[in-house]
Amino acid sequence: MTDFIAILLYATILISLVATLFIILTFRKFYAGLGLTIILAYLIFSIHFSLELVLHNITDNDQALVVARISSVFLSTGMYLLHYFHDEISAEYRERKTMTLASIVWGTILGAAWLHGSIKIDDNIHAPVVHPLFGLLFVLQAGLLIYRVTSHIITMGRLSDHYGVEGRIPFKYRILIQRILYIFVAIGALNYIFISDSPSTPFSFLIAVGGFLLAILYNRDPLSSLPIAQPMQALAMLREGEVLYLHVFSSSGETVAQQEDFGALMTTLGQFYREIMRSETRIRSISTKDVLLMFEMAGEDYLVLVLKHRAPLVRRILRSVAGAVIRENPMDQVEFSGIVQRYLLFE
Amino acid sequence: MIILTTSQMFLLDIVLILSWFNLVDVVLLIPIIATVIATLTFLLVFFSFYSKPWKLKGWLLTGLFFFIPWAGFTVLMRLAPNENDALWLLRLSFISSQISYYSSYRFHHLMVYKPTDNRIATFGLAALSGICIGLTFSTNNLKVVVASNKYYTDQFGPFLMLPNILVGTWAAYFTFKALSQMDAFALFYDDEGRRNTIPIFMFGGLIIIAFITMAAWFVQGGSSDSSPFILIIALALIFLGITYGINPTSKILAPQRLWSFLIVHTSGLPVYEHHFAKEERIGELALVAMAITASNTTIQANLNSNSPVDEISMEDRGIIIEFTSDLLFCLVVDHNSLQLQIEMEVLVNRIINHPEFTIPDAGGEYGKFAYVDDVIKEVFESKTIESARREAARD
Repeated sequence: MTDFIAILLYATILISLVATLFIILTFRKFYAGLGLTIILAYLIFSIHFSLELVLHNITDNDQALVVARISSVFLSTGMYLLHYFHDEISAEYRERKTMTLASIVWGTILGAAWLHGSIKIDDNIHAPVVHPLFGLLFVLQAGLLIYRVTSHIITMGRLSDHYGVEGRIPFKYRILIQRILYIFVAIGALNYIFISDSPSTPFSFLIAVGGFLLAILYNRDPLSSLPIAQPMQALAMLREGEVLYLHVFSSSGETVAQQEDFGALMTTLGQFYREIMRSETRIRSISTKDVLLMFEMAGEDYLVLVLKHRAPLVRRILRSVAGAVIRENPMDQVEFSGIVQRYLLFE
Repeated sequence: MIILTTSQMFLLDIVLILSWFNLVDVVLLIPIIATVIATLTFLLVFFSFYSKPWKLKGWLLTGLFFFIPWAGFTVLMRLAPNENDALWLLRLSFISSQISYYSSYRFHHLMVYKPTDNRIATFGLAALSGICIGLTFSTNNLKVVVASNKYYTDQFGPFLMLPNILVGTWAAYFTFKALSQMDAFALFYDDEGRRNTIPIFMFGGLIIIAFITMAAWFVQGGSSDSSPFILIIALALIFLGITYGINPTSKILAPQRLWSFLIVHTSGLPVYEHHFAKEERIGELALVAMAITASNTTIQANLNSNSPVDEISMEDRGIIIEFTSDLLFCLVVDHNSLQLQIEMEVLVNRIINHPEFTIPDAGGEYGKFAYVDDVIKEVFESKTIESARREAARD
């Protein structure tokens, strides 16, 4: 029996390492900070599983308790980083309430992990027992994480249509995955409520398999490399009132291209507001409830990005595009599109 | 039967009062006073902000409300019948304080001049509060002891103290920063419009004293009792009560500088204008009106938008736009913020729900909007007072 558990733990570590490798491959070109966040989350999960194996080989009760506590902290931190990653890049940007709640729960787990009685070593040294309330905190964190990750995956499914990309994972399966995961969470909650002496890591193997499936899904999803998962329409480069280059992201962005006086209008608006508002600086954005025009200067030229939602991350990426335009000085539409692809689509 | 004379009864009263004082120690008296102050502060601000939308005042009232159980549970903890009850009451009190700190931080963070998207603070502080709440249940970090054979007093361990210091200091820093920026201290302006800096130093001093007290406890390896700290927070609450409950300047919450308020007909004709500072008025109203309506028409028609323009933003200037089917209401400000958008909604609702409101013809009948002056004064009271004061000082 003991050997079987050891084999299962080795398998778990192996699966988590392969999943981490998939994630590194998928997000290797990703916007540095955030790509690193999901890679870190997966590495932390791998460390958690390794600690579970260490726990399995320990013979001293006190040491087992310390390792069990550290292992719980790693698990919770990995889940928190995964939540943060999805919150940052999602189209439904800034779900502050969920993220704040996730932060409080994560902090509470970190604090409560060191309390006497939250994790106990009873008869079986290899299966630490979790206090029901402590277990429910993990269930709450897992519930919030599943909500965030799956709503992001569903959004990615919707974006396939927008960008005219053929989605490799049908939309209905995305919804199905969400429902199955919620059922797992509900079972986990019932387990902690009705079985007060639950072992600390009953689902280690399942977590690893879930993480692996998510990694494959990201690896196969052609839109996973989007730096920000929201529907962008077009990016125009304006010089002296004319549209010099225009990169259209979607069919809806073509309406922008059809506007002959789009460049002139945008440039005029920029200059006009500067004068009438007696402002020393340039225009940054014009927005309606469902369209946002974001302006950024690239030397003397204007870059105008047409998209749906406001998000600080978009501004940061647009600045990178402007920097690249100044450095590389694109001479034709193909070169300009190459820069856009590199920073806004990561293809 | 003993019959007491008036003078004897008076003496008896004195004895009773003295014995009461003997019974009621300072460790009990301070949280009782703090509970009363917290309740009064909450009620004062609640009624003062009665007409403001919840979206705007929610964090402020949550923050102030939870100071009541924070102090109230401390009183009950002192008088608890046994150690276990005392410890639970102390935990509840501590958790209330965490909610107060975090809410105060969130409210004042949204208030500051340029609210940055400070994710590390917003989520990091939530996590730190979570750590504090988790550690509250550890008897190594939080325990009660009996002082003078009478009351239970609290003792904090260093590991609980450290995150608590961080959350509290961060919340206090943002409260101070926002109060300073939103001109809340203007309550203490003198007649000539000069800012009296004493209250700023007073509030800053309170933060520093609180910080030093907690740091000293931390260095000692644990607190002795939180009564001195409760007193400091009670003083800060009096200050907040005066600022938000009595001070008219803080009725307009957004600290941004307002330039102009314009009403423009969708045909491009100006209908109404109000300038908060005459010497800094923006360009010709007719041109501004044309530019806004041109942007509006172009973006709606060409970019498949279903709604009119609601914001035009520049690096140091912005126009917040609310709209009806015929009119665009434009507020020109230094920086946009969530709070200012809410204030703008309130302003527009009051204008269009006013009995004198009529939709102007394309010709634009300026006179019909004369009542808007009063509505602006009502909503942006302090800003109009401030500009009038500046003009008077200049004259």
